[in-house]
Amino acid sequence: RRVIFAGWIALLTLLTRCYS
Amino acid sequence: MNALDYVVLLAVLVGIAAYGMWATRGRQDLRTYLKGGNTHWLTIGLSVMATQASAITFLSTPGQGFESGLGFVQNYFGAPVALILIAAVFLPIYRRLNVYTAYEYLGRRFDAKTRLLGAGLFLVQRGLGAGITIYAPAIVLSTVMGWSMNATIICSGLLVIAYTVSGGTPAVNLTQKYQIAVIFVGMIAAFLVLLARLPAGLTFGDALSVAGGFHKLEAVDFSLNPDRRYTVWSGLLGGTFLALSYFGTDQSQVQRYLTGASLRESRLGLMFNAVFKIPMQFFILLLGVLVFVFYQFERPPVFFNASAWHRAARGEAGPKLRALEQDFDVAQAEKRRHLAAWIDARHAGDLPAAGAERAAAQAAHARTEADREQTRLALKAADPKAQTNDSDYVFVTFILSYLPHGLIGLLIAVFFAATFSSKAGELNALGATTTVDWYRHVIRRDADDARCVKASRWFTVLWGFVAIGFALFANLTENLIQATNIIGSIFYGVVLGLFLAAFFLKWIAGTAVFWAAIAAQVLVFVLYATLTISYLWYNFIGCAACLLFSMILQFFFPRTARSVAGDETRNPS
Repeated sequence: RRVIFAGWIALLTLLTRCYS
Repeated sequence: MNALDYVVLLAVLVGIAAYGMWATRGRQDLRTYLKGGNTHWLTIGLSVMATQASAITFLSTPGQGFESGLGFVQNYFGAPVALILIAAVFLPIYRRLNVYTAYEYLGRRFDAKTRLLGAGLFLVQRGLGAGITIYAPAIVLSTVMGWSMNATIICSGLLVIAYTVSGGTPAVNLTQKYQIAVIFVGMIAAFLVLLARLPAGLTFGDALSVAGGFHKLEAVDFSLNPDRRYTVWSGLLGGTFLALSYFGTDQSQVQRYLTGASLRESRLGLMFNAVFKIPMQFFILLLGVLVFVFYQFERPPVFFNASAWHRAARGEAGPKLRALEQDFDVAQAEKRRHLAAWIDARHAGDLPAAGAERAAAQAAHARTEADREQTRLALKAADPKAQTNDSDYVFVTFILSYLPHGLIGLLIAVFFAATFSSKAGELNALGATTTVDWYRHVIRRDADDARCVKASRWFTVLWGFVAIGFALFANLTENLIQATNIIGSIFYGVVLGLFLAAFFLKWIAGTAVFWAAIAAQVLVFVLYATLTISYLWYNFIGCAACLLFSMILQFFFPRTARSVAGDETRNPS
């Protein structure tokens, strides 16, 4: 019972959308 | 490079190696020599990262960013998932059995012949790859620095052998920690200098807009087209597969995280990589993209391997190469003018003018790219053996041309530190596997710890000289470097198949999986000789064939008492 990756994909997708 | 650069370079490289030897001096038992002491999770995390990141990572990846943009980052999308699987399933079993090598586990779960097969496949594949680790940076650095390539290979190879043999795994882990620190400091310094050297008035946002205007910021591609080299899907599927076999079954990585003081430390070391692997690769690629932006406002060479260009320009191809260079300079100046006008129009909020200037800059860029392509063809025509891919030379050319002295020495030290860290991890694993899985298991079963430590030192020396010899005497070209990657893909799939059968197919025994692996390996060889598909697919084919054949063969081989006894080791809790 006692790993951000999805956040990285979201950020990279945003970067791609904003600058393409 | 001036005297200050050489002082920095030698102080960093020799200093770290000497400290590693001094800090781990004295007699060591086999456990300490091969598995290290009680290593902290951060050291494990940095060590895993340092073993994977060779000089090619820091020479080629910025070149990849310069040439193709950020898309290569998708190649690493499989790493987090694979590292979680390894931490949850592979690692507890390795630790519970207290193995020295991953292949020792195959012996416990299956039988001796399967263990030797797994170890043998690793030794062949990693032994061949070890030469490339030294060769690839040596060819680039000796070309741009004017050093003797053979001297570069021999000196760097001997230094790595010295501290790896002297201190074993503790020395490798310790030096990797400082080497990766030097790498981080050097790369961050290069990044800051690059930002400072961008034209006055060009903000970071402007720089990103310029990069985006030339399609360098397309970091993710959700396309389902299999012809595209890097997509989110190929990264998630193929990348997970590759990372699972590399981090989970390659002894050069397994040996890094088995040094943990506890299961918790080893797991946290792997999770450190699961979190930071993608941002690290993104940062290195972004550095390459910013080098691209920087060169849009400077006068870049038409071909970044300057010595190859000058050598060809002295021959019959000279007039054509100089004409192409002249046209490239004219187109580059035109592009620079349009880019400045584009930035001004953006700042003024004049969107129609900005759009027109951007289109004009892109047209000029197409002309410069055509000149670069024509230059490559002319170089190839002048010398069919010439390397025409100059992307490996982009970052080092920028460093030597625009960084201040002292920092140049530090960045060249970064490339060597990366070479040393991955090379040491490889040699350490090759020596350990030869000792544990062959020498102690087959040749001298009665060998005590002291004899095994001595044998491990000699095997490490042997593999070190094999690597140096391979780098010196093999006529390595671009194609042979790619050939070594192909060798990795050809063997990785079958090795991963062995381990997945061990972990998850509880009813499969040693004889079935052994012959299945042999058959799968032969199938991969045959397919490689007859098909033209991307070599990455052989990772999947080898693994799937190994699993499928082992399931079929198990019906024909009755389970023996030995294989049933191995059952206690197979269940991940």
